[in-house]
Amino acid sequence: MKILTFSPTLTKIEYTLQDTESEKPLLEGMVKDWRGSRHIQKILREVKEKIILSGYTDEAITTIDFAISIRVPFGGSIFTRTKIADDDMMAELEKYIPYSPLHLPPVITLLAAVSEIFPETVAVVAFETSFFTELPDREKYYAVSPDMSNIGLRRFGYHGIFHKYAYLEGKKTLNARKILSICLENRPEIAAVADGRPLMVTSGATPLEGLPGLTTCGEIDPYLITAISKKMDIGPEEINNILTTKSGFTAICGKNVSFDHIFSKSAPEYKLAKDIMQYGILKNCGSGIAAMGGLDLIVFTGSYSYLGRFIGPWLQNKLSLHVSGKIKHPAWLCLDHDIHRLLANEAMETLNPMDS
Amino acid sequence: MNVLVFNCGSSSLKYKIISMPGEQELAGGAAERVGPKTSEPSRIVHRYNGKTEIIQVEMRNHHESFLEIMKLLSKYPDLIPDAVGHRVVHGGKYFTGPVISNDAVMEKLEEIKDLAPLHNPPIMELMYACGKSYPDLPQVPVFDTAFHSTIPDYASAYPIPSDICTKMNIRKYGFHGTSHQYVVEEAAKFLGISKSRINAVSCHLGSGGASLCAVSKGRSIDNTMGYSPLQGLVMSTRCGDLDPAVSMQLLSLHENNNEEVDKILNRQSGVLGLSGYSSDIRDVLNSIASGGSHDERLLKTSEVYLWRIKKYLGAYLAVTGKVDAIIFTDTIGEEVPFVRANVCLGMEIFGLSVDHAKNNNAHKLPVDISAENSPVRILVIATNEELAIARRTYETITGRPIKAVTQDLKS
Repeated sequence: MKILTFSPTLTKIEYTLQDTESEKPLLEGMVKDWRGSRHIQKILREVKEKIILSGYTDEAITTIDFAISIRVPFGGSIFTRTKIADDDMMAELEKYIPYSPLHLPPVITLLAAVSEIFPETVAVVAFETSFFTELPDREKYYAVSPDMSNIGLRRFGYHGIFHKYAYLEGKKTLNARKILSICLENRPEIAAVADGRPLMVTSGATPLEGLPGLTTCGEIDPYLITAISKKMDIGPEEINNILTTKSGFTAICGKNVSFDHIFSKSAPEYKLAKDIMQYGILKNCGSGIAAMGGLDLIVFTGSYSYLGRFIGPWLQNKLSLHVSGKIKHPAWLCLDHDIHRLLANEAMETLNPMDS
Repeated sequence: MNVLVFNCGSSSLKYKIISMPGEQELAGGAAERVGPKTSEPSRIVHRYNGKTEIIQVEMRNHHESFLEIMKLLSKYPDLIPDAVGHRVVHGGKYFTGPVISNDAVMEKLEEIKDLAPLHNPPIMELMYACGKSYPDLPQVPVFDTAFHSTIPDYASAYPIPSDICTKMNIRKYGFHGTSHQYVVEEAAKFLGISKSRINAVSCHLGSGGASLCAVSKGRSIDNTMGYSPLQGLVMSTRCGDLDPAVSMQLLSLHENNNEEVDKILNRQSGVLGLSGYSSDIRDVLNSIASGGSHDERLLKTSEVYLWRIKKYLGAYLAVTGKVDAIIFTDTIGEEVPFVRANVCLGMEIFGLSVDHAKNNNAHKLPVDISAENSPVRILVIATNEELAIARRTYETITGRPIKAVTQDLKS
């Protein structure tokens, strides 16, 4: 089966054409600064042309052997699994815009354009938040008045597709039941998953909370928002801009960095960043182990999953766990599937549930 | 040496006279309803020799309450102070330990006043009053943040632009340091470990504020509170951890009214906000236990409150490594066995195992409530911030560490 996958972020759309019989994508590309429905339609037409040029006819992309899979960052509490896109879904997503005002509008535009350019091709939507709809109440809610929870304030995770993959692979390969899933993306996230259910996750109501990212602050004292507003005489929009685009490891290092820099270079300018990252991971692993009451396996996924080869042994050494009267150190595993491969899997599972 | 310890609240001034190094509490009390007139007159409640005396006297500010307390103490020759120790909430970046107060110290305190606008100014008013009326009486400010000055930079740095951090002195300061340090030292004594070698997680669970502290080799390496006492655990009316985007959303919703947002997060959230019933977690737990309450809000409050403690306990057990003990202290930590049992439940993986009979009968403190085979000791220790302040004051003035003095006395 061939699956055209789309992974949109605020600044770019990545796409691939996956063949479920093959490890490597048949086609891949990326478009930066996508804006407005006409631009998106133009992008999709070009993608369609490339597919046709690579040997597929118009008819071929409408058969049951061809599908589209789209990653959507936020589906609220209503989208609990990957679904086939239809008009009802579009209407529901429109309702959720106030809860994800930055991410949902462009995604809705993308879905509309997919329906326009690929009208006969079945499209599935994989929501990053679906995996977290069953987060326990104790982890889900903040200590604020329920008036705020009633308007949808709750904790989600934002790398649910990777965490689900980590759990399934951990179970399949090592029969692990209690897993710490460490997703190493530009905005990293840790989830504790026991028997397939997430019990803890580092992100919050938005992806800003949790571990620091390359440009995002992560968890900070909530008082800092009003303190900065008062002292710097700036409003929430400007503070938001600072905390989402100028903070994180970029702020720590004083320049643009990647996790490759932080973990591969020994220069002193990266030491604090590396220490902050490792410490944040260790601390949150402790919380995850408390949530599960145990640990079978640590799994690294995401674009930087290979860095797990450095972080894994460090964590293993730091975590001394009491098991049957003995001290044990947890096992770890790095998985290398990228998000597009997982989007293809999501489409397969949704369209052929008996096979998966 | 008689050390007069002051613990200054916004409308009260608590005091104790402690004879050092023998650590004997000679007298204590509190000036109450200090400030503008209230429905009841301001008064001093004074305890001495097993008797309680109530003196009604007008005290319009902390300066006046200080003078009245000194006037009262002067009637008892054995209560004349030789030094004063003050509990100071915030020492900012300047004070990593107690100091003898002088003009330079006061200047630095003025400089960092904004870091604790509600707490530090009344204490400074008191220190100025003391310096003016009793210039020869040495004063030692003991800072709640000082114990946490050893938190390493990777745990204390906030990843936000350095120009903002520098301008606002932003870092994790941590709080409740005087209490954490006290109970950790007491735990070391209890376990027969040197206080410079103990590894522990201290759980200061007050009925108002609460924080956990990770301790390695007797030094604080992390605290759940941050730049302010708002971060971390769920507290009586404080929200604790919250997605920064939610704070920004609130600020937007309230048209940039910072005071309103601070009020919501500091005074209308936490146990009170979640339950809509009481700001005291004991009320919530009692209501659930006695009535078999199925009120969804109360159950949720209890779950969120307890989980946040356990979540950080796991985190700090992981970062501390080989832990000798976890310590429960302050009102909730000392008095509510259910909280201790619940927080330790399912934590065998970290070496914690509670003896439930011991836990339910933990009245005479300090006490070890862990099961015999528990690799990590679980201790309940009564905090005594006033005694801790007296110790620090004595050490600062004499230059002699209190441990050595205690050993001398025993020998």
